[in-house]
Amino acid sequence: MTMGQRHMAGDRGWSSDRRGQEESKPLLERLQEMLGALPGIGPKSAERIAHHLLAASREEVFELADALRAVKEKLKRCSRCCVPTEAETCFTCLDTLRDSGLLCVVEQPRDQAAFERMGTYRGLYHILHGRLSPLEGVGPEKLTIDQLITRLRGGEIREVILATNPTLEGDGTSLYIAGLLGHMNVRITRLARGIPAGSVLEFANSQMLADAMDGRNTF
Amino acid sequence: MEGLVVRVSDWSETSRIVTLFTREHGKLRALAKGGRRLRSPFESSLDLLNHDRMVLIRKTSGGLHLLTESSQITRFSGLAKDYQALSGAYLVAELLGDWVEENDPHPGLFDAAIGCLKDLEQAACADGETEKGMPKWNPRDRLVVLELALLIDLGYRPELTGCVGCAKKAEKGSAAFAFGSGGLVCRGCRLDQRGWRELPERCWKLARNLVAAIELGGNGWAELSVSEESARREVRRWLGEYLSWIRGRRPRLMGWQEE
Ligand SMILES: [Zn+2]
Ligand SMILES: [Zn+2]
Repeated sequence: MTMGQRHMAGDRGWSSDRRGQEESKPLLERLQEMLGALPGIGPKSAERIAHHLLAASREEVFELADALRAVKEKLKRCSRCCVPTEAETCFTCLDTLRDSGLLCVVEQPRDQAAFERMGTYRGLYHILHGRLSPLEGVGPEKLTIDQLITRLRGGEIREVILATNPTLEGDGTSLYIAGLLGHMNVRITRLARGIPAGSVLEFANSQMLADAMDGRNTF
Repeated sequence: MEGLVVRVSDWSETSRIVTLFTREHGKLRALAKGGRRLRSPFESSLDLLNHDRMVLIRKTSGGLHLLTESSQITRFSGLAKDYQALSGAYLVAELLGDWVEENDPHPGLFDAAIGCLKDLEQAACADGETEKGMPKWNPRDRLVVLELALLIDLGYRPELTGCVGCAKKAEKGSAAFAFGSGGLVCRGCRLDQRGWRELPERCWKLARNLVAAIELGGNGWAELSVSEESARREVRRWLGEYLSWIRGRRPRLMGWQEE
């Protein structure tokens, strides 16, 4: 091999390497950006996950990719309660042992899951998929309020439990929905709030005490 | 440090980023680690429009400060009893979050905002529940008073007594308000102005009286309660335009106020 040939070979090797880097770099960067946009994942974690995926086996990564794709392609919203489900109607809505006259309205599927873990509520749910947040541009049209109204027009529901988060926006969302339901023949309730059981009065803040006093019930 | 939470976003499973309008330091953005948990050094104080006392580790290099502790002074929970009052409160949060800058304290505006939220909460309470001596406000008009206080405090005081060009006193009839100069302009000086709009006499006079009352430490209740609704509506529209003109965009909640 002459000097010139070796130089050319080396050159080719170098340039193809570099081309490889240029092609993979934006891809990897893109992956990191997308990972970094997920809740709770900062740029450092995004980088670590991206490199983990790069090092993992094809099968492992493809399985993850398939799961991601399937979530979006196969999961839709239940035609009644709007919870994500693979079927037209979810198991909860189809459960005939549940009280179909009782409807608990929550912000997120995770709130429903929390009530289900509690295990004592036997009514149905409605998932709003968010809360009214005028500052972020989230108005009623972005939630499943229309579906809720349609559902109530069916006439089977006696009581609507507004179980949005006890925050200003959550309370505001309940207030808005209660306004819409005012003329309908349903009982509207909301969750009690106040002092957590097992704590002591002297350490409760004034808001908790005021809430507990407002929501007191007959002994 | 005393502050009002003007924006909240979830940062992770347990943490929150809050934008605060503090009495001492103007606007600050801070990370509250564990701020979504019930048992945390923040209790439940990091909700939107909570008035809190807090402890903060300030980052001098820019970026997010670190909130280490916070407790509630007032939670305006009554706001969630009436959608008009609540909408007004959202507009308070939006204006403060948008207009106040970091390291630029405006204690007067801070106190005005707290006063406004108190009045809105009173307005949300059913008749009879109103505290003795507290007027029952129309939330839209109460916002007008806060917006004027904000403009005055941040250096955009509207000049409504005479022409900003030649100082000729405005007396009778409609008058033109020039957005760029932040004041009325007489017919002769109008030509030099880019954007202006005609204000009916009852509109600029009501606005002028409100500015005077606010500068004397009043809340404009006396001026508003003797005015006509049409004049109040004109003042709301004009203020919406003036605020939008200065910031280059319309506040999201302005549609509510101009209704
Ligand atoms: Zn369902
Ligand atoms: Zn002039």
